[in-house]
Amino acid sequence: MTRHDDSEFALGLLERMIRIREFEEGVRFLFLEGSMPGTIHQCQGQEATAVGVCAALRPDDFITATFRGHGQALAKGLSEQQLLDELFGATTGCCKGKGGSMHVGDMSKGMVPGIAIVGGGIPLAAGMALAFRMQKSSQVVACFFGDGAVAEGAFHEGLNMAAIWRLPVVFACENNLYGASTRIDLVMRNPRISDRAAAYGFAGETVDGNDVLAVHAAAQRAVAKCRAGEGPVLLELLTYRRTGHSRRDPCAYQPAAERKEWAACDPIERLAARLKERGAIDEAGIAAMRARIVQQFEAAVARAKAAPRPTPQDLEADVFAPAVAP
Amino acid sequence: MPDLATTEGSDIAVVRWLVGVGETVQRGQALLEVETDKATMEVESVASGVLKAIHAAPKEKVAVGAHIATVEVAQ
Amino acid sequence: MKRQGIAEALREAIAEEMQRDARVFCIGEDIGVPGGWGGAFTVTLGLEKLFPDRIINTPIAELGFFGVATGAAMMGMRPIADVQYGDFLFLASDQIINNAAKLRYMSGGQIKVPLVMRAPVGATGRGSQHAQNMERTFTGVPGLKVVAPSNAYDAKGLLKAAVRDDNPVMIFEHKLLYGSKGARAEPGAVDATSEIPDADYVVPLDRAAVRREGGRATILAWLLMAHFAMQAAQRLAEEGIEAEVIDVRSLAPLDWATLGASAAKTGRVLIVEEGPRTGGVGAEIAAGLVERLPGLRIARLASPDIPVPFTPELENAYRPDATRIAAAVRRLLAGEPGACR
Repeated sequence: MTRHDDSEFALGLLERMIRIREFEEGVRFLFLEGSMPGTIHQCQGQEATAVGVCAALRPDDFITATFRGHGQALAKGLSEQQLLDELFGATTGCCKGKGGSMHVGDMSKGMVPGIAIVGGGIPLAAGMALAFRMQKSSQVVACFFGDGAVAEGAFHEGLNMAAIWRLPVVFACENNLYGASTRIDLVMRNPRISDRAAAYGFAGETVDGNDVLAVHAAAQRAVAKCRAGEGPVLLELLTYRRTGHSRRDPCAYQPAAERKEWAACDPIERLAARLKERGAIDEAGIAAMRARIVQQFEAAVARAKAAPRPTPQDLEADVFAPAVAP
Repeated sequence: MPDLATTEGSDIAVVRWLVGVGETVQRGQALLEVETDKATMEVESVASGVLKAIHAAPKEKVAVGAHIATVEVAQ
Repeated sequence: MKRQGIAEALREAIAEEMQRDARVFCIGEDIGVPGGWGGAFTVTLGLEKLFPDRIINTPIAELGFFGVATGAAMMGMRPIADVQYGDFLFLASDQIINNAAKLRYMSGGQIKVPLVMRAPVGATGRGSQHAQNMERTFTGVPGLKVVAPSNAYDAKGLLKAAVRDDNPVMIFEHKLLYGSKGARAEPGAVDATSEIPDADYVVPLDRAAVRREGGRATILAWLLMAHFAMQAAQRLAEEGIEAEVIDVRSLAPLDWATLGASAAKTGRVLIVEEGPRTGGVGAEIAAGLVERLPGLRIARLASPDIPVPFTPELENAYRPDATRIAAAVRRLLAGEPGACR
């Protein structure tokens, strides 16, 4: 079941994490440059959660994500081009420029556009899983949310219903210790999020969210359980955000010592070290991989900057689905 | 000046320049410190090269999008 | 043909749609309990026997199950979600307003949400948290369709149209109109029953209905007020005043063609609403009609801007009735300005 001895598989995970990191870093500079509208909520440091979970999913499985969804989008198979086009507001963007950074998604690739209301995607994910069960499909839903969402009523209601109906949902909580700027111990008396699953009658597990192989293994077990009709599962993925909540945030609330401690557990560095140790890749190989990714990114940026923008004629399109013959 | 203020449309104050005119700067290196309505933070250079000129003095409040520095990029 | 009340007609509508399309299912509290109630107003009574896998009983979790219904709709199912009292819709607001109504637009058209929502409204002696008319909260939500049937024929036809529509549709039903002069009908001499055809039919979601033609004044109303408006028109006719009564029926979008044609004909429009005056659906109708027909004389008759009281005397003072509707029309015709009470 585990492919972790398979270096090709692990190299694929490494490449995906580097792709997310370089995408986010590149977008960060586009924002600083002033060429990108709106705001961005980035995920540098959290790459292993999205990559590890999505690697355990089939293309026809679905994910729901939050306003911090660029990593999930790339991990689920959206292209840099359709994301960049969307961030620049082009009609060729994944949501035709109608959504923006917080709502990236592509239903044909199994990603619901990001739900930017904290916790708002949790009942949706349960509903999608209900549909799969009613349709007798073996598809599952991975529902991403942060530690901040655990306080929302939607978390309670969504997990409870998924539990009583045994819905195929992998609830993937990215616990990065902060809900926006507020540290987790200020908002929960029991900060071990995975404990909550037991309250609803199902299994929860806390995982090193910066170890992509551990995340993948846990996700595989969770997905298998869901496909066998024994869902849901709650995975608490411990990770850390190495960038601001949004681009206007210098993270002054993160103590310097804590930042340093987590920098030493960077998910990309850790997998790279393991693969170098195994002889699966060397420093030059990683540099070449990174350079290729950066080059692809820059080419995509050039195309995105030139991509067509919507006109006022597009303003009112796609509010309602067309009338059906009754 | 990048769009870093929480209050839309508010000006951002330059606190101090971290690189001198004539010095080389790398993309990603902290170029100056600014103060927004929310916080004081560093702004990184978006280009690598030589800092040719700065166009905003410390304590000066600048609108988002204003041209605050020129970096000469090596070809 | 058979005569039915709204609850029965809705029950048949739901059963027929579930029979016709296996993707249709019901989700709500106390709706599918064997030996139970069929929801708060008997509408789903017995359906769990016909469709055991498609009547889903939920915990008391409105936010949660409206979100579940939205998610299921995104994946191709066609859910009918109901709240026991419209007052509980506020709990579900985030899923209805921020998700169901917006997912299609913000996805650039990738998603459709064929979700039907049903909510009972109106004051029935249960106090202010079980008595509101909250149509106005949802008519102002872009991406949501809102209808309000005043009789059994419309209730059945609108429900079928809503189920077959690929968009989120909110159906407001009135608690006093469900019965057929049976157990749940409270005194008021209002008859919401209709002759229901045996053959399949739908009522279009975006049309008002002219209930009574007349040339002197137009009365616009919906749900219970549509019945009181007809009673008022009867009394006015005895005084020689022929009022046109229109059942607004589609609250979003508003049927400007029908409302506007009547307003152009009579020049005098009274808008009657059971909810509070300020910011009501009536405010939108008034503004929209005056924009289209400058010089039109408009008045609104609505409940005062207060929470709904409990005592029957106060409840009757709160909500407009046929007497006050007739008086308001007379004042409108006499050219008296301003708000009506």
